[in-house]
Amino acid sequence: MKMKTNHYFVITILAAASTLPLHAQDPEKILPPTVEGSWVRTDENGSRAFENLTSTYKPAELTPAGKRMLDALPVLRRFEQRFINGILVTNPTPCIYNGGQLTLDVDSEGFVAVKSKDEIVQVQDRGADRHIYLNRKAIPNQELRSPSPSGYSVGRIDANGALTVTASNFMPARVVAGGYRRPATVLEQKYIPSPDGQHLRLIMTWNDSEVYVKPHVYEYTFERTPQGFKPGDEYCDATNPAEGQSVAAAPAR
Amino acid sequence: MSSSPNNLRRPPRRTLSFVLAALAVVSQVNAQGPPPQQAAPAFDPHDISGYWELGPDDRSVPNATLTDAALARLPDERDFDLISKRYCRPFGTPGMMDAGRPISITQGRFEILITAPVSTAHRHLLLRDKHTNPDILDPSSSGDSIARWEGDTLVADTIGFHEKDGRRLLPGGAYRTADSHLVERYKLLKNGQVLSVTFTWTDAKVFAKPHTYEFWYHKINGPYEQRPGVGCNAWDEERGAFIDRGFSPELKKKSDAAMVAPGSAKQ
Repeated sequence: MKMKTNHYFVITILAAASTLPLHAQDPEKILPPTVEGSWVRTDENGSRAFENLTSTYKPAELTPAGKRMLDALPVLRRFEQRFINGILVTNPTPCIYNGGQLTLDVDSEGFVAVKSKDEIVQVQDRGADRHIYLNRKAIPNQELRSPSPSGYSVGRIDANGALTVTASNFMPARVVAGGYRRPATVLEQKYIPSPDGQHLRLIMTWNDSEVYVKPHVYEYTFERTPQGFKPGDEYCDATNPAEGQSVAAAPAR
Repeated sequence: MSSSPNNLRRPPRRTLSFVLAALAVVSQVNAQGPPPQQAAPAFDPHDISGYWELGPDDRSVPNATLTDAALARLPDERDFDLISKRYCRPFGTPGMMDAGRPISITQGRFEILITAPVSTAHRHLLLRDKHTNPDILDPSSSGDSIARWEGDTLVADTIGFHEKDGRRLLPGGAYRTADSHLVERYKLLKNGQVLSVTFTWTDAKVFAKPHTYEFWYHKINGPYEQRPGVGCNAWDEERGAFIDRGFSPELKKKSDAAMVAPGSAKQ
């Protein structure tokens, strides 16, 4: 009889615990595999530093047409300099806000993913965000929607927690490891959380038969950061050289 | 039994009269009052996810009651925000909550994320009980926010603002400092189509009494997509001149002086 009472007691406690809001429990212990949360990259490729993170990736194999498209892109101008109010200013890429679209590739900063019932939103420190719609199936073409840096993304979540994203309608731009994307290019992303929910693989596959000889495939890996972690405030003040390298001394001649 | 148009039977005259009479009655009813309300879709009062916009009449903002010291400092704070606009400094909180563009709220398992397509840090309202340990907390333009549900109201508590970063001016003629404390109360109204956010600021150095104001955000229904950024380049001379036109000569001088010279002591 005593055993039975204890049994009921345990069931009651478990039932009560299951009604607690998730945030009142310890999410790290109960977390099912999910892309939700904060992730930092672990694939340093043996460089021991987060530099040239993609240097060991297999280069994209472009068709002749794809090479022409890539060559036609404007050359990156990272260090344009000009005098403003008598001060030589290095054009500060991070301080120029050009849009709210997060890049599709992930740098050393990692990302945070938050999921509502209709979408997953990914963000980094620097103010951009990316919306992956879970409640939509079709990707509008460029007659209905202007191409954008990170395109338009629809996704679905499988029973094992994996997130599959299809994205397209991009503005022409470079892709990691010598690739190229354009409005017609289709990116397939597979986010695969580990069974313990603490690690994540992201497989990127770029498809465009006019650009690539074969699909351009590479992979990132991530580790979950402790609960409560949130991205820092990468504040960029164009007037302050200590923030964003916005004002630089003249280069040595 | 041919189906050619010529062989279609004409409706009986009596039926035609009845239909015309019915149409007349319907049009009379419509002319007498508003159409009946459509059945309201169900909404979850504990889910504020969605895209929300502020219309021109959606702000209820009384004047703030400031301390004498704050009142004296207010003009400088106003100048600071204008100079921030000149140099595209990010908005932070609370500026991004009313930056002229719709906000996106994503309510997740661990946090509620608020983003806006302007230059700003995002807001992470962490669904937990305690703020980040002050020993390791880096003050920021958006502060450190935690949130919890009290009935149908989400209560967000924010501290840890950076002393300089962000647009610091508040609605109602006030400003925030590093010591300011913000409590926001989010509640869905009007069948989930309006999100009321009541902001209450306290800061003994600034406010003689807590400063409270309320915004009503309207839900954007349908397949909306967050708008791309419109861009802001601090070094665009044409834009600089456009902003500077509204500056007094004194403010222009202050704005030019805000630029830190390479190798200067301010650096």
